[in-house]
Amino acid sequence: MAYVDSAKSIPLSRATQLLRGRTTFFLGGLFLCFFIVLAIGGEAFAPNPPNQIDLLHRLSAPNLTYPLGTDHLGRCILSRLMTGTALSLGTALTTAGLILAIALPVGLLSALCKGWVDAVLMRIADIFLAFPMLVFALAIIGYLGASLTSAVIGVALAWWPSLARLVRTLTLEAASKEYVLASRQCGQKPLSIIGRHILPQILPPLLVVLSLEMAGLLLVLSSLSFLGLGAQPPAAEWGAMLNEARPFFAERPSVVLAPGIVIILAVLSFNLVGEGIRFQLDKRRPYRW
Amino acid sequence: MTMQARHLSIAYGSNQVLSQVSLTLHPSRTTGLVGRSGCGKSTLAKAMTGIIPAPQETLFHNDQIFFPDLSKTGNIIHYMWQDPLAALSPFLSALDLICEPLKAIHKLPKAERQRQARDLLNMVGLNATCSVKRPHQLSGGQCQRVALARALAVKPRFLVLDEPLSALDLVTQEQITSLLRKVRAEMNMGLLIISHDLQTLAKLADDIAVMDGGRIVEHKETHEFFAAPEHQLSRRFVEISKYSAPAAALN
Amino acid sequence: MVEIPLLQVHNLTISNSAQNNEPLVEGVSFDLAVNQRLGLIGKSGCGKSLTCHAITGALRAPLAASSGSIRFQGNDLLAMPFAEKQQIRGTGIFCIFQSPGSALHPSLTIETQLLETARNLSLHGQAAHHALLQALEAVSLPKLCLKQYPNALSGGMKQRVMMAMALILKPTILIADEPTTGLDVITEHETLEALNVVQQETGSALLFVSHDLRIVRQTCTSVLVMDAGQLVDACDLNQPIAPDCHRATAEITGAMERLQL
Repeated sequence: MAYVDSAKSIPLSRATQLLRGRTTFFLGGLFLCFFIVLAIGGEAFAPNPPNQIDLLHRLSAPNLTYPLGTDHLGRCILSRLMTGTALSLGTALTTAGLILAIALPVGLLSALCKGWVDAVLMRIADIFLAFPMLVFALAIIGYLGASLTSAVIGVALAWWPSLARLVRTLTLEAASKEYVLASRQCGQKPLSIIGRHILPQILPPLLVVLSLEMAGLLLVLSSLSFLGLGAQPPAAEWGAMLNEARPFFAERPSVVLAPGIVIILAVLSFNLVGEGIRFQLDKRRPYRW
Repeated sequence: MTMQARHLSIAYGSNQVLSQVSLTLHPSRTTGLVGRSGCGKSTLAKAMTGIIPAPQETLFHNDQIFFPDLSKTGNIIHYMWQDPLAALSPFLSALDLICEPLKAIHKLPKAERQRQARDLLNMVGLNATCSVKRPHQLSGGQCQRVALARALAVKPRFLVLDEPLSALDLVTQEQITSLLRKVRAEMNMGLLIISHDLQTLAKLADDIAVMDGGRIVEHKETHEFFAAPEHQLSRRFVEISKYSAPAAALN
Repeated sequence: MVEIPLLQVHNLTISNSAQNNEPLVEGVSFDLAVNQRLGLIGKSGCGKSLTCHAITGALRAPLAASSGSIRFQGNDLLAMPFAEKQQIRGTGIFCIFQSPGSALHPSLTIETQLLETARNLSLHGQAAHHALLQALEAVSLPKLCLKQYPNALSGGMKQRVMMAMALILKPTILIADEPTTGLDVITEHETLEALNVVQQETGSALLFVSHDLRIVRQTCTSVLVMDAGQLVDACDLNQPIAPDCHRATAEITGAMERLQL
């Protein structure tokens, strides 16, 4: 018999304790609040008009007028990042909301109705999944016409099946718990079973996954912007800025790094908040003697 | 007013879990079902209550064909799980858990619901401080009391208790046993108590059925059963339940 | 010559570092002598399993033994380096846990696992096989079990495989932590009989942890009572329980008497 000697792992567990729970949530919340403030008042705080072209100072180093330097057209990077917050986060959030709005009912329906409903819904999801995600999104955007709205719809339609499958798996597991059966036996109606017993179980993992997907969404939406299928120039959008600046990386790295770091921070704040929410919602104790 | 299983057989692949089981539950009578683990006692109980599907025309309520459906017939025959912690939602407080059936089945208004739920908590011996706690904040015995109070709130005609004591320690086992005696005396419902421990069944059951290998091999009045167990397994159970010599006597 | 007890637990305190070092077990002290059969009983959550885990060194991370000592043949287990502890595990202290399902490797046959145990004692080939068969016979398991995987065995059989392991290892101290939880009464009876055989054959000292005085009475001669993390009483089971015993003891014996036929 080998016992696991766990005495050595105590410092590590302290660190994870700190990272979970409140600290995480507050840190993530702080970042997110910062981004929300920027999204609301970005244009007002910005030192320069975001679309003001100054060809004399293109690709300039950070200075007093342009705190983060300028891009290839001499536009102030900081101002563009700040005004772009609303657009970038707004589209990503809308897309995530749209995906959830499709995936949650589909997943719940197919897990709880079983039988032919399940078969039909999941086969549809499989058909959607069979196409490469981006190609499928491109096809939908091609049909709807290039605009930010169609980019959001296209990405959401291409993205929902994987999440719907996850919702279905989580729901199947949640619905087979003894206390859910016990509650059904006590005469609870299906809707209240979903609201009181199933959603509290599946939302924490779902939120964590969704917060991770936000990263992917941000990047996909900006790729589309780069292809001219999302945000239309001269709109300041983080991903579009990143892609526009790509050829000038060697000349002035900060042109690429600035939007890159902002995207990383945004993704990180979503992850931290997601993890924090999961920890807060999941009130059960981790061990019990 | 009886609940009957007639020639009930259930097989999973080649594994015959129940073969030709017939069992009758009478209102206001307590039947004990005893057997070794894996003999099919839980499967029988779950099939009778609709937790797992039973073959058609094997269950009869008042001699009418009965289809157990988990979400509709819980107020006729109700199943109570072995592990109280797993069968109580971790998201609700004890009081809310008991209010659930009062709202969904008996359609009581909120104030009346809460009053009845408090009465039930009182009856199973839990005080007001427990009513706001969630299952994981309660001890095993307290959880079992909440689960019992909830089953009583449903007011089913028949209540099936699957190993109600085996997840509990000895002191709590004794407390729940006397609580079940009280329930049996005060509530007018037929009980089916599954256990492998004859000592507790002797205190609770009017008649005892013994299961072995998916069949009921003996079914008798409790006092007759203890006086003259016929089947070999029954004799072994009775022998062990009477056996409690201290170690000193062993050596 | 004064004999040193095999196991001396002195003033053991176990606390949860995640919750303000709140002590879960406080000031537990007892001795276990050679060939003694000691029971440790208490209600669930009283800290008996924790004590047992502390002795085997299986406490999990926010929980830790914060003070006191556990001396095995005079050496403190809590202060011992890892390599030395490894030596004691198995042949020194062997523990049969509550859930035998998780104590056996699911994808190895029983034979492989028992042979692995025998190899620890440098038993090989014919000698190892012989020891295996003897052990199986002693706990009344059929030979057929050797070729099977744990999932094909019932709970009682798995628990008896653990006891066969103990028979092969012949540990100085055998700890049984609620070995019959979840077993039906007949299996429980058979398991306890196997445990008796093991104890007699190996001459190990036995620490038997349970909530059920009925089964502790069948295996042990004396018993310690725990309540709310503290050791509150010690009784000799050959004598009638004294009327001036602790409330927890009275509660347990009272429950047992009321349940008895």
